[in-house]
Amino acid sequence: MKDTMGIILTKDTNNKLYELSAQRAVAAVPFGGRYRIIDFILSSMVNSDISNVGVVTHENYQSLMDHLGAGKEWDLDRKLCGLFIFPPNVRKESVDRSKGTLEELYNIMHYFRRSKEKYVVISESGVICNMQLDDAMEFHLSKEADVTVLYNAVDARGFKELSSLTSLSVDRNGQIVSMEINPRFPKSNKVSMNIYITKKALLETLIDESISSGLDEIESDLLRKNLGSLRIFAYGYRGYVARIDTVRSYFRTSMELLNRNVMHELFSGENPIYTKVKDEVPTMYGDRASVSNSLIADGCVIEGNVQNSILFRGVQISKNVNVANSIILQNSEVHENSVLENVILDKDVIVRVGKRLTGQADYPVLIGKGGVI
Amino acid sequence: MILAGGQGSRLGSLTKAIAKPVVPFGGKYKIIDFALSNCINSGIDTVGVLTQYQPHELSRYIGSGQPWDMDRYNGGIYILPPYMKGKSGEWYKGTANAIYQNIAFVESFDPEDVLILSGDHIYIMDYRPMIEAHEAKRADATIAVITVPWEEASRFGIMAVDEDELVTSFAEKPKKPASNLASMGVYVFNWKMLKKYLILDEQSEKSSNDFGKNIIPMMLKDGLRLYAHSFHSYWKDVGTIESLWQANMDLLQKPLPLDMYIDSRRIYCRNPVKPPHFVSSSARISNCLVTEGCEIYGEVEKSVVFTGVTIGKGSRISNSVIFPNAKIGEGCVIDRAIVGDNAVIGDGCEISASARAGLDEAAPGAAAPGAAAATATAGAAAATAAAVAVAPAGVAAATVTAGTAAAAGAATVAVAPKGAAPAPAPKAAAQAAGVAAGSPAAQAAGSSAAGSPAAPEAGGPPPRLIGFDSLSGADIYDTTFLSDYCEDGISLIAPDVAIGCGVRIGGGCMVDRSIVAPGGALGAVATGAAARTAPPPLPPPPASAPVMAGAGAGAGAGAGASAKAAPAAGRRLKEVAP
Repeated sequence: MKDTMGIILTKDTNNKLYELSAQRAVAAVPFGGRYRIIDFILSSMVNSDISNVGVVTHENYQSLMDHLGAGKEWDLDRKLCGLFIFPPNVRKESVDRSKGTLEELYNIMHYFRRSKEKYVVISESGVICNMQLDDAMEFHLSKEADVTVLYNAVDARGFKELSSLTSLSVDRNGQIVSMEINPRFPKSNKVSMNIYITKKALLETLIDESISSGLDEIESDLLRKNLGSLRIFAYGYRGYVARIDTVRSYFRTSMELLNRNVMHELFSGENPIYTKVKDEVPTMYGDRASVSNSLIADGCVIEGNVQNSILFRGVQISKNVNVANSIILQNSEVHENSVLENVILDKDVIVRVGKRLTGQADYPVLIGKGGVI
Repeated sequence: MILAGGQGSRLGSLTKAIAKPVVPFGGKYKIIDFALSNCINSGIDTVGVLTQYQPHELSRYIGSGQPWDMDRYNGGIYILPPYMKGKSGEWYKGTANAIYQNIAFVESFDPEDVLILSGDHIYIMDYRPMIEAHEAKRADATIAVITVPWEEASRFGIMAVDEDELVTSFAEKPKKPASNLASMGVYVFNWKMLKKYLILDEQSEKSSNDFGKNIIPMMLKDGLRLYAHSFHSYWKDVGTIESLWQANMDLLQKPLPLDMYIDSRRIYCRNPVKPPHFVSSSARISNCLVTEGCEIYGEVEKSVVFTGVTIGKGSRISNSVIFPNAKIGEGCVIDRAIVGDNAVIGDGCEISASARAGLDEAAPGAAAPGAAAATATAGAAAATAAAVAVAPAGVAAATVTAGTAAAAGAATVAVAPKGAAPAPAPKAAAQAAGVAAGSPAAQAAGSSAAGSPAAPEAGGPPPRLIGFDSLSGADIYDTTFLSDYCEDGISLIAPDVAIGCGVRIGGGCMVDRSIVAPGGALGAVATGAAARTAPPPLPPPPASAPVMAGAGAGAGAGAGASAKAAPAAGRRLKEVAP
């Protein structure tokens, strides 16, 4: 994968994460105790030996920029290549932020021209997986494909949860014959992961053509229009994949991390998921702490009971607190005698003494950043 | 300037391959993180780290200094090993000589004052008030001091001061301390003055080139203005296994003696890339520090668990310090121990004082079932059960030397493999012991195994059997337990050691070699680690180790006793086996 560059698109206009994405792009939504969503695809690229990655930001990108910094933690703080962050409207004439993904790519044409790699992997940022892209690239080359779309098989529950998806119909050889955007009754359970592999030169031509003929989006416009004229193939990824674009999918995917197999696949030692370092102290368990089936990041102080939950860095759980089936983001505090069940607390939330918050597994209670209850 | 070249020999196998400053501490840190973080939190961003003993791990750990925010254009962090000058070069002879050899380095920054630190102390300190006081008093040198208990004062550099904190006398490790103000090994020197004295000290051939022993007394004698600067918070020199263990335990006290939770005094470290730690539904954790990357399935109490540790289901860990990436199997019991990095402990092992007590009871004749016949036959010799060597086919190199420093008699245990001819067993034991023990001890082994009943009568406590592989019977083949480092009952499992299933190890032992049968099982934690930790060749035992290989069993232990005790041991094994 040495000769490949990566592009991560962070446009997330259709997301339904509500307060979680009120002040940040979906790519920057905290996930899994110490990560942000973008860490997974970004680390996958880095672990696949891609050392030239452009992150195209859309709106609300301050939090994302702050997280990525110079790319040090992903080993992308390089002299040659490394991490490039593109704020929206990098060109003077592009002022219309409602423009599609293709317009965003068109805006960074200079970056494509300057980069020396032969191939490009383009990915959207809401995918949780830890994948080696080498197999997909091998598939792409062996099929002599113009474009390869990565997909995974999604079950009925997955279809229900996703707010938008593209289902792919594929012939015996693996070539895509039709693509349906948000179908009511999907013909295929193969759902695009919104990750594409192509040659850089071809991409430049396609983007140019698309912009001059007024196309907006990669899948619905560019790929669908070219199904007949280009060799567009589908590569099925068999590993763990989750997509996060609703509160429900955020909650369920987070809870899936407590499954040992999922946890080991995502966080296996050889291909770590990198993230920004916080220098927190180890987590302190008090005398009367009782924790079970939970993921706990560093810097927490736990005196109460925690069950089936995920605590991010620096969370404080006081005495006599019961937390169950909940996700508590960085630096939030739950004071004495409170009870939380099926709750998501965003960062810096304070739940004062003796409060009771109860949601349902399908509809967790979500408290926005900095809330005081 | 941080002095980080010391070996820390009293930390035993922990510092066999690494320098003391990179010994893990406090869940995710290394000892040197405290000095480095104190520097950056005090606004000092030009730091020299003087290395000498086993510098690779230290150099790699420090790298560009980025984790401590010390990768700077101007200043930053510099690793300073001894180097060649002209046609010659020499090792750092002492703390003062290390600075002497780097005078040119310090000069290049043209400093007014130089702060000299030790890279192996645990404390959180803002050096700025000390430097300000040093400047305000126009001192030639300022020494940070801490009040220590009187009974410990003779272990430190002790000084007497007047009401203005001007040092009036200084004595390095005095027999009769004049005060209980101890030097913390933190000095601020006026650089011009220090340079002068470093050069003077170098000219004296008798000098040991040490700050505490030479430079400070010489300055004091010459009437220089040396001031003390009192420090009133936590400070610990983690020079021994016991103090390293204790300092880790101190982090679990309330209120915290060492408060790492204050933002402006944060301790920085090179962060491992690990996910949050996982606590399973079978786990119970109380009064612990646990770090990212751990997976806890057992019960952990009053312990510090470092990055990437796995603790299996049903295991009970208490009062222990588990270093990074150690893997502990299922159903283990570990109490008052330090488990080294990447150590692998198989299912059903026990490391605790009670394991030792239990073994002491069963000691006469506590051979594995397969060996019972061998010991019974060999019973004519006085060296019976307590001197049992495990000799797997083809390998006659099994020694288990045992006993605390108090228990002068060590036990060498030789167990013949199942089906082996019983008669040669004592001889095998003697040979095995001889291989391990080297010179005079080998003769001792030979003579006692040959049947001298003198050992028990010679006085001293009876020798103790402290470990055997109860699951696989006669499969121990390469073990040495040394106890001279751990007189206080803290056990140490050395880094990278693998221990097979069901091994029981008494309190206060140091296990520095793997105890794994060839191809032996490690149980649920079986990983590649076992393969990686091929047993190294047997080193000669340290002089202080009470090697009396082949010493007889406890008084009265004879053939009959051992034959009787064997079934009892067998029952015990069944209980232990997971």
